[in-house]
This record gives sequence, C-alpha cells and structure tokens, in this order.
Amino acid sequence: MRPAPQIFSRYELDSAYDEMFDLSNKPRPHYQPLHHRLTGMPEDVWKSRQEQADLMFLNQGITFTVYSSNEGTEKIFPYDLLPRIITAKEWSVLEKGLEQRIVALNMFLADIYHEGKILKDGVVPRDMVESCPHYRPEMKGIKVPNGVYVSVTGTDLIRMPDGSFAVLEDNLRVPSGVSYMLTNRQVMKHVFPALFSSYDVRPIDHYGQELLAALKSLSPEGVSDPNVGLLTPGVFNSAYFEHTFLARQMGVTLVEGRDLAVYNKRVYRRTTNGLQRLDVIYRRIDDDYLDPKVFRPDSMLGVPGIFEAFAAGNVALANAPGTGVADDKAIYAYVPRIIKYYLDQDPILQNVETHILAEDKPREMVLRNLDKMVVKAVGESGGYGMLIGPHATQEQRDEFARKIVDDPRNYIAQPTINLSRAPCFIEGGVEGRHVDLRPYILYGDKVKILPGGLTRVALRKGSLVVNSSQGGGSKDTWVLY
Amino acid sequence: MLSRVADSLYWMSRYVERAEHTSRIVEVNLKQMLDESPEVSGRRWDRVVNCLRTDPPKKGDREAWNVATWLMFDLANPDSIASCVASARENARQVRESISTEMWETLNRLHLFVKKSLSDTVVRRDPHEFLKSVKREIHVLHGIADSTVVQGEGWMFLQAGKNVERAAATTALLAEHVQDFLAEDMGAAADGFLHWVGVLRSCTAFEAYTKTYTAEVRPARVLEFLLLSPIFPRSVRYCVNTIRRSIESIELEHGTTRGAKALKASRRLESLLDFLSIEDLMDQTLRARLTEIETMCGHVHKAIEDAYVFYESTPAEIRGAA
Repeated sequence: MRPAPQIFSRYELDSAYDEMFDLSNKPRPHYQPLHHRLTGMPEDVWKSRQEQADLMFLNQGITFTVYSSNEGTEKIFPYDLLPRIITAKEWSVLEKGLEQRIVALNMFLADIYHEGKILKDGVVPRDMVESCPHYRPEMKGIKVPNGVYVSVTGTDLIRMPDGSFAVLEDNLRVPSGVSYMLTNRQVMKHVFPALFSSYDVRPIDHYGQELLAALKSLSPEGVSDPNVGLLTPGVFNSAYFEHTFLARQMGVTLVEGRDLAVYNKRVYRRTTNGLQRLDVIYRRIDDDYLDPKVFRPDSMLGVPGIFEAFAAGNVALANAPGTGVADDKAIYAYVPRIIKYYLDQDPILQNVETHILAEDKPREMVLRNLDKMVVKAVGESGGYGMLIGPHATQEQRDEFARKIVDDPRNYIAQPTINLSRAPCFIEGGVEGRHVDLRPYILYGDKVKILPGGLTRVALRKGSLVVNSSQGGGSKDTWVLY
Repeated sequence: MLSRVADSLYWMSRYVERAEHTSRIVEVNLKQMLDESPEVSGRRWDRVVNCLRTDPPKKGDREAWNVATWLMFDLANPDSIASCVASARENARQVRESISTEMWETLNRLHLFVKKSLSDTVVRRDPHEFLKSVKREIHVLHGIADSTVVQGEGWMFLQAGKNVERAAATTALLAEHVQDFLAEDMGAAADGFLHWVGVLRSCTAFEAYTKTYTAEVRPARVLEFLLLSPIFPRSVRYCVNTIRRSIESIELEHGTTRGAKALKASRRLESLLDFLSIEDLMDQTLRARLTEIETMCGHVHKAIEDAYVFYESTPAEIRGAA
C-alpha cells in the first residue's frame, strides 16, 4: 500500500525508519497536521514557497564555501521546506542522554590533561589517547576556567531502523551549523506562518543569549564584565557567514587574528581608539592554527602568544585547546566505558558499533567485509576521508584497504547504517531522504540544550552522506511541547 | 570599534559612492552624445575618463562605446561600476556584523543584479535601465542606512568615506572643466547650456541649482554652487563640513585627541572653502586652486587612516613600563 494522495505518489518505504509514516503507512500522530496540509495544497503553491525560501537565503547572502570547487565558491545551503518534527517524549530522552555524555567527556578531558586516572586504570589505553592527532601535550596541567573544556558541542545523532537514537559523532572542537538552525526557523516562520502556528513548537531564538552567557561564565578572575570576542579565520572560511551571524546575535566583536596582539601575556584588539583588552574568546579557528608559537608555525590566521596568555589565565578560550582528543573516532568507541567510569551510569544514548582497526581481529574482519562497512579517518570531519563500502567501487575499496593496512590507528569502521528518512519536497512531489540531527549543547554554569537542532538531509536519492560539503541540505527542526 | 572594521566601513562607503558617481557620469554623457557630432563626442570620453581619475581602456580604441563599457562592466578596471559594487560588497561582507541586515541585503542584491547584468547582452547594448537601477538601489541603500544604522562611530566612518569620495570627485569634475569656466562665450549658446546642464546633472545638481539661481545657467554660478554651496549635499564645501563633523563625533565618543591631525586637515580645508568667494576664483588661479583642494582632500583621507587604522601599536601601560 502506498501513502495514497498524489503528492506522495513517488514516496517509497523500506527498512529505514521513516519519520513521517509508521509501519502500516499511516502518518505518525505528530505528522498528521503536516500530512493533511500537504495533501490539501496545490503543487504550485508548494513550488512558489520553495522559490520564496531560496530567494530569502540568496538575498541574505546565507552561503557557505566549498573547497576544491574552482568557481562560485559561495553557495547557498539547500533548504528543504518540510519541517522535521520531534515529540516531547523523544526529546526528553535526547536531552538527558546528551547532558550525561557531555559531562562525562568533559571529565575525561580534565582527567587526561591532569592525573590521567582513567589511563592508569586501563579503561582507555594510554597510547590510544597519546597517539591521537588532536591530543595536545601542551594542555597538560593547565587549569581551565570552571573546569569547562567544551563550552559548545554539536553532537551528530542518527535514528536507527528500530526508531531509537544513536550518537554518530561527538563534535567537541568547533562545531558549525547553528546559524542554519536559527535561519531555517526564521525562513519557516516567514514562508509557512499558518503551518507553524498550528503546531506547538518550542522556541530556539534565544541561542545567542545563551551562548553569550556560557562564554561569560568563563571570565578570568577579577573581571566582572568581560570583553568577549569571536575569533574567525576570516572571510574565506567556509563558515564565515555563521561567524558574523553569531557575533551579531551576541553583540560581540568579530575579530581576526590580525586584529589581535599579545603583550605581557594579555590579549589586545586594535581599535580605532587604541588597543583594548579581550577577556573571553569564542574561537572558531582550529587548534592547529591558533598560535604559530605553539602549534603550526606557518599559521597566518592565529595570534602569536595567545596560548601563553590562555595558560596564564588571562584570557579564556572556548572551546579549550585539545578537546579534539575526545571526539576522535577511535576514542568514540570507548565513550560508553568513559560514562560508566566517571558517572557510574549506563549510557542513555547508544553508540554505533565501532571497530578499532588498530586491533588485529576486528581489522581482519573489516577488511573481509569492506563492501558492508563505513570506514572513517579518525581525525577528519565534514565527510572528508570516508568510505561508504556498499556505494563504493572495488577500486575505492582496494585503496582504502591499503590505507588501513598502512596506518591502522588512523581508521575505524562501522556497519553501514540505514539512517532514518524524512519527507522532503523534491521536484514537485514529496520523497523520503535520509537525515541526521545535530543538537547544540552549551556548557556554562550548567549544561543547556536548545530544543531543536540542525537536521541535515542527504538530498541525493539513496545517499547516506548529509554533509554540506558533500551535497547535503537542511531542514527546520521542530521540538514539540 | 576595531580598526579593520572602521577601515572596511570607510572603504565600503567610498566604493558605493564611486559606483554611483560613475553611473551618473556615464549616463549623462551617453545622453549628451545623442546631441553632438562624432568629433566632439570623441573628446568627451577622454574627459570623462580624466574626471573620474581612472585609466582609459588598455585595449581597443577610445571610441565612445568602448570607453563606456570599460567604465560600466569591465572587471579589469578596478574603478568600473561592476568592480566598485563588488569591492563595496566584499568590504561589507567582512564587517557584516557591524552593518544592519537590511543594509547588507540591499547591497548584496545590488551585487547580484550587477553580476547578472555582466553577461546580459540586452543590458549591455542598452545600459540606461542598468545605470538607473544602480543609482536607485544605491539611493535605497542610503535611505536604509539612514534609518537602520546606529549613529555611532561606525556611522561616522561611513559618512567620512562617502564625503571624502564625493568631495574629491566633485573637485575633479570641476577641474576637468577649468577651460570652460574661464572661456568667454560658454553659457549663452544652446551648446553651452547643454554642456553646463550636463555638469550639473553629473552631480544631480540641476534641479537644486535652478531653485537657487533659476534656470539661467551661468558658468560662475555653476562653479559657485558645486564648490561652495553650504547647503547642497554634493558641494565640496558641504562634504568637507560633514567630514569635519564626523571626525569630531568620533573624537567625542573616544574622549581622546587621537584624531587631532585628521581634524586639523579637515578644518583647514573647510576654512579655505568658507572664506573663498566666487570672485576670487574666476581667474587664471582657478586650476591651481582646484588642484590644491583635491590635494587637501587626499590629506584628509590619509590623516583619517593614520589616526584610526595604521597607527603604531603598543599598549600604553607597556610603553610606560619599558
């Protein structure tokens, strides 16, 4: 049986969990009002709304930059009209699970950069941590404000075929995309005000304020009203739009490395009225480029001496350097054990089964089954350096097999998971496309999670890759009361 | 305010003004060409290039159409309308958080429109509508800026940029016509009338002029109006007055005398213009006077950049300790 009306005539269901339809092809209760409206609205109305939305993005210049594409480096992030809807019940599980996870990971970071108890107890192998490309020995023994390493997290969740959520990646360095979450909502309210008000959707618009509060909580001792700045690599960075957007939302200065200078372990910015102190920096520059004196010496984007100022406690950096060790894809496999170790709790959110290829047995098994596996380089993000076995050619699989044998520590493998599917407006009809979900978690005086997130969509039919750099788009995400 | 941001605001404003000025000059001259012989019109475009203080096209001849295209659409010409709009938009993109969303959207839309026009053969063949749209969008931009931007320091840099560009451009335009101002018989004949109306229209000053002097167009009055009017927004004197007030406001907001040199440079130019009368000007010293004014505009520009952007930097407390 097909989900009857014409607009759904191309909609296919298979083993993936469908966000809108249940097993008997009926819309789930929380999708019924949307379903009803979809079937009742003529096609050209949908089309014109989509055009209206696209134009809003273009005129607002909401764009991102694609690397390795020679021309038209600025692109708009494709936006799908139909909202992804999450019930209050589903959300409360996610909320608890994410808080538990981020608290444990933060404790893990504090531990490995100080006593290293978890390493001594052998719960996580020491060389697994120390061989991680994002492990920063420079951070050893450095006290971070309030003990918070990870002020901003964007965790990637997927929904398994049985409908439960699982964590796919912890992004603890400089997660991006929150500006799309916020602008998607603005566009939605503009294009579909009636549909929006027919649901009780929880607001997310106060994100900027919450982010600012989290940053201010890091204020150095004795500074009651800190000067906060957002450090961007500059206009050529793929997320530059987001940097300007967040700076505006928070009302803080957007600075580039060349605007800053360090004197006597203090950070100053060049203003029209001379040099002024900066106390808290939300940096959207990777560790590698942060300080040429400590990390990559060829970095032109960073600020020489900023790490020393940070170590002296004169400036706060969010997120702290070295957090990447905890979102390493091999360390990921240990997160359930990390949660158990520090909190003595079972993880609320499950992991995806992960094979550590540095270990002999799993490696042999994976090499035999590459056509069923997803292989990822441990330090990469954004969908780069990844093999999706079932969709790859024999040549690509052979190449990855060689890479794995050459440098097993650098790769992990996971079974190919059929991500859940949500209805998308495609060429005049509604079709299912695979989606994930990235909620944003702020760690200030306490953990706060905005009720929403960025739903990313693999717009190519059948594709499982949702990254914007790989042809993905996004949707507004509604968490209901 | 960050020095880099102030600099981008200042330049964004200058580029927008340059795009508008060039649009107007090209439009006026394309129209005037309709009424004249080919020989006269050849000289006309040399003059246009000169008064915009830009370079002539490198390839091709100086034929009118070739020059006009170079001034409108050629991205190889950094002063073309297309280049100026792109540069203004790039500066705006770098300081997006410091201008209003409405302002950014307007400028971005203008940029998309100009970009689309570059490859549109219909537009290129008949650019009048294009020039009109550019001017209209820039007027909209000024209106939006006026009602959405906080009138603080950033606003003052926008004002300073716009008016430095305007003062220099109007002076350059006048300097290009020195011969005509001093010629005995320009003004009376129909040709002369059209010529002077063209000059006034190049500064959207024709209607404003007639309100002050009626439609009787005389060279000395044109010069007086465009150089010395205290109330016309594109006269050099009015622009310099605005620059001086902008710098004063920045100084007031800072509570320092960092911009003392910039203030002094603008005050010098302002008082020169305050005390000049048209009788002093209408003789052989005119060319030298206009050159002097243009040079002083350059000094004001440099003093602003030196005071707020390219200053030597060591924190005071550190200098004290050293």
